[in-house]
Amino acid sequence: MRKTSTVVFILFVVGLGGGLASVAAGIDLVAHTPPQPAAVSGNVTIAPPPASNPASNQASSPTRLSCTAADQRLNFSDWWAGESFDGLGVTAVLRRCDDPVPGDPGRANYVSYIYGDCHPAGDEGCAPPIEIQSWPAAEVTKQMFSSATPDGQPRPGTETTVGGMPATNYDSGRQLVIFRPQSTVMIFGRDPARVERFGKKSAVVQGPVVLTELAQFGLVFNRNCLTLKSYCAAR
Amino acid sequence: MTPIREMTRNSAASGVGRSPRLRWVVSFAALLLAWQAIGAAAAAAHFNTSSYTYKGDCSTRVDPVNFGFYGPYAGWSHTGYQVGLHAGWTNTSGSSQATWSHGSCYSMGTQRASGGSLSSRFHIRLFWAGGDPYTVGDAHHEDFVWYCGHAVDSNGATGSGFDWGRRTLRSDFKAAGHYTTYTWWGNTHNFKQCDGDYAGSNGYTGWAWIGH
Repeated sequence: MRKTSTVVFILFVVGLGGGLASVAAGIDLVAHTPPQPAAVSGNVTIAPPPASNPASNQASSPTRLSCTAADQRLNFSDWWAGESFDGLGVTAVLRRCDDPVPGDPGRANYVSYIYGDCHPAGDEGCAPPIEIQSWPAAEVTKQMFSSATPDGQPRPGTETTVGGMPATNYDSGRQLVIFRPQSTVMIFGRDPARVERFGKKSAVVQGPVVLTELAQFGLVFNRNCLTLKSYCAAR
Repeated sequence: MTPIREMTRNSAASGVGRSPRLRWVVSFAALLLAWQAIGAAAAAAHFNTSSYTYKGDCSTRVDPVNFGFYGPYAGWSHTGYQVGLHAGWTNTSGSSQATWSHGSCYSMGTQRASGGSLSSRFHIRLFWAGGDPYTVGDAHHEDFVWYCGHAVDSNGATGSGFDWGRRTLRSDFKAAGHYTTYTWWGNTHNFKQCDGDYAGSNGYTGWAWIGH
């Protein structure tokens, strides 16, 4: 009896402590007022920066492939889940390959398949249910994800495999990154289970080498940007 | 004055500290409690944020996070002041958003823009991201579209409005003598804007050290 009450007492105190600690850490679903340091002090734990700005940026500049227009042959493989999957059809295809900008550490270079739709409000964009982006493997490497902050704090992720390829889950499964030999495929979505399903599907379905071939699925690129190498969208 | 030994004896007689086992249990529980509190405090101190901003109830994503501020004076309020000082973004109008940090949904701290709600402008919302302190934001350039409101500039030859906002802010802080750099987050999810176009970050996050 005494042993039982002792165990109950420990559980009560630890449980109470856990609850208090959780409250202290703010673990609930109500939007909180953001904390503000009461008084600024020099007692910070993060490493100070170098004395001056580096000649080059900290984020390593990856190898850049030449840009290709939507009506040209891609120089990396693109992956998708077909014209429709899991109840969602392709609503847009984006070909983005930015011109280099002095001072920028890198640029976007991808083919994007957007599945499903969303409805933005004025002053607020919205995230489509699923997006699959394929980047050249040389431009998005696993190593690039290693440091989230200038002082090297990592971005939390969970290692996995998809279709036999190494992959990492970020944002609690809302971003799946698959590291293929020729391409890095990133799947974004609201629902982690759906992101996983699209990841498995896209691991085995390669997109067209020339994007204008998507016309057979009713996905037609805007004629005004068809030959542009920087950005063009099909709907 | 009661001798210490007497006090101890009286305490034992009254039942407090009667059992060495109970004392051990209380000590052990107190130790666990302290450990949990320290753990919670430490977790709250370090950098932690979603790589996207959310609607005010943290239900759905709205913008990519593409700028971070760190250093002893990088609280969101002082960072807002610094953004106004160096970039000239002093207007505080705009819708409120929220984001996740340390497993909790936090409303934004403040926002700064280069113009009012009815003009095309640069804009950033600032969020708490750790007690070290860290502040993060969604720097962007947005066009005022007469029939729907603000739309972040769509992807184009030199990137999107998110890339333009990050580039401009980083340049302004660097020109003012702040240490700046970039890290890669890969948060390149595209967002549909009210004019029907898509805009997304190129995946890089700019950083500025707030040392004063």
